[in-house]
Amino acid sequence: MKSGVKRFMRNVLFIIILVSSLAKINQILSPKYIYANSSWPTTSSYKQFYKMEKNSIDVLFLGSSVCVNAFSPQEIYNRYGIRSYNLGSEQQSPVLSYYWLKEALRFQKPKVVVIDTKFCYQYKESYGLLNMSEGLVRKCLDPMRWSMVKAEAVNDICRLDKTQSRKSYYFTNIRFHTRWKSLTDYDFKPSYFSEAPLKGFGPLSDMGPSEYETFVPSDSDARSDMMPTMQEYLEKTAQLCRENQVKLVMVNLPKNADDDGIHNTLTQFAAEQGADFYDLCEKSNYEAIGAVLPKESALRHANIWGAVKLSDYIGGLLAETYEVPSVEDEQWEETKDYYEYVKDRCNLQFETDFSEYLKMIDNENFTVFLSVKDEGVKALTKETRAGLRALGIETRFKGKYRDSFYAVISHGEVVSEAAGGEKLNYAGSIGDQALSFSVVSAGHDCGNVSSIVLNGTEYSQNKRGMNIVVYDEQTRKVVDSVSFDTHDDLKATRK
Amino acid sequence: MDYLSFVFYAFVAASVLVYYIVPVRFRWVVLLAGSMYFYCRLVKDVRTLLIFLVSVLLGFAFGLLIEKQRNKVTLFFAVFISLFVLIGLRFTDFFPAVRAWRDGFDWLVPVGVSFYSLQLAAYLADVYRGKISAQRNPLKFVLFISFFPQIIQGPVPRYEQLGEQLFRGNRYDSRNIIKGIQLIIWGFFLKLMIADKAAVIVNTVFDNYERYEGFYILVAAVLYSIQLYTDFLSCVTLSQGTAQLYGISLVNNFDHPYFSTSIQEFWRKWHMSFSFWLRDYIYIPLGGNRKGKFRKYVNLILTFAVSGIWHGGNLRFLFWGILHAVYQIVGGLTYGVRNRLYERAGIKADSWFRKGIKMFVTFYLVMLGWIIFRAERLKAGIWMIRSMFCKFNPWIFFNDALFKLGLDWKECVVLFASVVVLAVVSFLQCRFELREKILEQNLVVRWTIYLAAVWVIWIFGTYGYGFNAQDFIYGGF
Repeated sequence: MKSGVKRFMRNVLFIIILVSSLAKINQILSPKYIYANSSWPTTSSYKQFYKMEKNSIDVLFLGSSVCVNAFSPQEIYNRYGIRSYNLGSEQQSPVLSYYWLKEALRFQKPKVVVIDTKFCYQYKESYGLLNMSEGLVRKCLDPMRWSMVKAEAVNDICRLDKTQSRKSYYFTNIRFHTRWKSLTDYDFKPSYFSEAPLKGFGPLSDMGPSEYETFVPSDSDARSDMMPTMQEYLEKTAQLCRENQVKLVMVNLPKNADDDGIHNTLTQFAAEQGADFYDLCEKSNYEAIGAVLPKESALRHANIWGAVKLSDYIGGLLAETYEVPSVEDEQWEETKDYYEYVKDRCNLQFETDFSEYLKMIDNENFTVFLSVKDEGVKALTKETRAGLRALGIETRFKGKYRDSFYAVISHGEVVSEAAGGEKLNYAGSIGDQALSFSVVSAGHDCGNVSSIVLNGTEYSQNKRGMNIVVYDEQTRKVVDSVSFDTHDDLKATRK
Repeated sequence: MDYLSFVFYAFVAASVLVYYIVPVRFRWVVLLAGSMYFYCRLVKDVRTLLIFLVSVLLGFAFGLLIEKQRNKVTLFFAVFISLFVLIGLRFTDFFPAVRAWRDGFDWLVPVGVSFYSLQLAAYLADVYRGKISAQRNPLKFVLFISFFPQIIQGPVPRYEQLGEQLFRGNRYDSRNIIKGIQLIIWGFFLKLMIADKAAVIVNTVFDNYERYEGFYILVAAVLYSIQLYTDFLSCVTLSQGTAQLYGISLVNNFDHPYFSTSIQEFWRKWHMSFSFWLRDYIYIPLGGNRKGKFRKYVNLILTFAVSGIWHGGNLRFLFWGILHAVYQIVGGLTYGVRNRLYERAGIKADSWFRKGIKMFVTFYLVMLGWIIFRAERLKAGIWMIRSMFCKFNPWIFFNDALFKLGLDWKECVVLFASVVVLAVVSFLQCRFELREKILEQNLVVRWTIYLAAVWVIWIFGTYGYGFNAQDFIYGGF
């Protein structure tokens, strides 16, 4: 009997070890969408959502990628003290919006839910009833914690899309085990993918078009029916909002649908459901946003400057029309600096003043590579020398006319620097082997070249003066490459 | 519900639990109920189930009749009836128009007919020979034929080996559970780490054979040899593992056939249950080697022709079967010459070198046969063999061309490593009973082996999104 019990306990222990190890393996194999690999980082955004204090979020944003890029919770908090969170994701159709709202209501009591209406209409015929590709359904739903809500969502999704496998949601290895071929450092480090200081916002920095022709409604009889499944789930969302005393606000973001039929249908739908609808394609609404093209693009996937304007607009509405209160909350206070760094990162590519530039790149999140070609000191001013010293560079540039010079600065510390009359080379790697680099600097008389190669790609402008390449550790991308003519007029050059 | 599915193992777990709860003398009923449930889940049409049951019950009735009046006419008639559906299937395969017509009546062909027909025929012959007594309980007889772990792909069991194990009710022994699970894990490894991975490259080349020449054919042929072996071995291993959970031992179907040093030896080690069936119920009744060399060769050709046609009713399989007979005939005729050549070269009879040459040549000859076996038509198979010998393109081993056949280099490394594991395990199995050896180790070693095996299959296996674990090859026969 005793040996039977002992054997039973051993078997139970073995099963526990087996199941927990397989769960851990599945966690490692599942894809993680973070700022380093995605402009719409659902993994970190949704994991961060679960870490927010209960009942501390007053506004939720739901919808597709345009919503993720349009509304910055930090910007809204900074201007209006309104606490919001962006739960949007790529191609998020009303089906997934509904389930994420249902999930969110388990932890939060928002006063307003803002939902973007782009995916109420068919995006691609091949996407079927869900109106989303399978991969993006997974991207949106996989980070949701297991609960009856998720089980219900999986059931519904597999009912609507027969090509999907219910089992693959429960046993994610069925879907993702081939990722073993492309695992990276962040697959093994939960800290990399469980924090999102931007609270679901996805900043972009591409310039917009030079103009946009706004939409003026002209045909009040036109109608354009939503996809039946989309309408069904939008109705469910409206019902859910009513049951939880949440105000539903629908928005049609600029340039998503400039169409009388869509405008009228959504207006009517909102009225029937007790919701409000703002068509931001409409001339008066768009002009109220105040975005100036091409830099402040609020069109389709808004860039960060357009998002600032959109966030200001929606924040104003939330404060004045919906009386969402202003509350000081440490969860938003502590991420203010991070948000400023993100804006600086996006603004870097426009900065042409060397002195200002040196201040902007003085940030722990940047790895900075400097390499002189030809001549690097004649035009340096007191401010620029101070700026270089502030970065931690110890080289005294006096007497270094036409000398070579390089420096590599990471996490606020100088990794290596050198100056001299000969050609200089330095190579290495930074950040758990994620970035391999080589830097070459040659002054006027010893080669006259600058090279900064990161992961096999040349980034240096290779122009006379100080060539600078800025690599962002958060997004794991080169965010700027510029050269300043430190021989003549400190003019900035970017290809 | 196939042997790789979650549903199948949930069913097995539930039935094992019920099996050991129920009193010993009724445990065979649990097996019968489970087997019937499994078979009903496989068939799409109730008429198929009826045909199956009628075939089995006819076999049962004939067994009793043959035991009562032992005469050859009754035996032949009974065997013919037992094999009727299988013979009809294979015969109509030769005529495309008839085959097309027949495909509209697929309910006529019960699942597992290629295997249980042989089982019935063997049973009737053994009753006739007095080797066994006819079973008097029709339900027990149905269980013997329909026992679910082996109904789809064998092995083809003999009544004297399997019957008693099924009917006596086996007592619970935790070692059976552990050994059964060991076999199931090993079966999954063979299927998902080797067979299905190799299949990716095999399918690319064989399904587009005109685009590939020379060494491409050789690589695909070698991989197909490995794929076919591990696919079939995995299915048998899973069957054995499942049966072991109930305390039932199914016969081995393979004995490291690619270590064979002659084609004769190969057929003593490949698909053994079927080979021995051919020997006992075709070759020996025809006279075997007892009627002189010429008759022996004729009997070989007839036996292997039957083997070929059993695999499929078309020229390709017939050719393949007869090819193996020809191999053995030529091997017999040249035995003396080959020995003299070895002696002249100073290669001793018991040397590893000579054994290695023989193993290599045997494998090569078998591999050539597998090209015909796998090709879409006999003509295509011959074309591929000719291309393999006539086109010289060794650069494909150096210019990454092999990584463009469906498996990238990482998957190829995994496949290679898995084949090495198979080779090592096979080598060890020749020396001792490996499963027993594992059971003798301490807890940490045993658990490490089991966990590592599961982890490796979980991560690197060929399944899920982007892969469809291939239907077992021999499920089609």
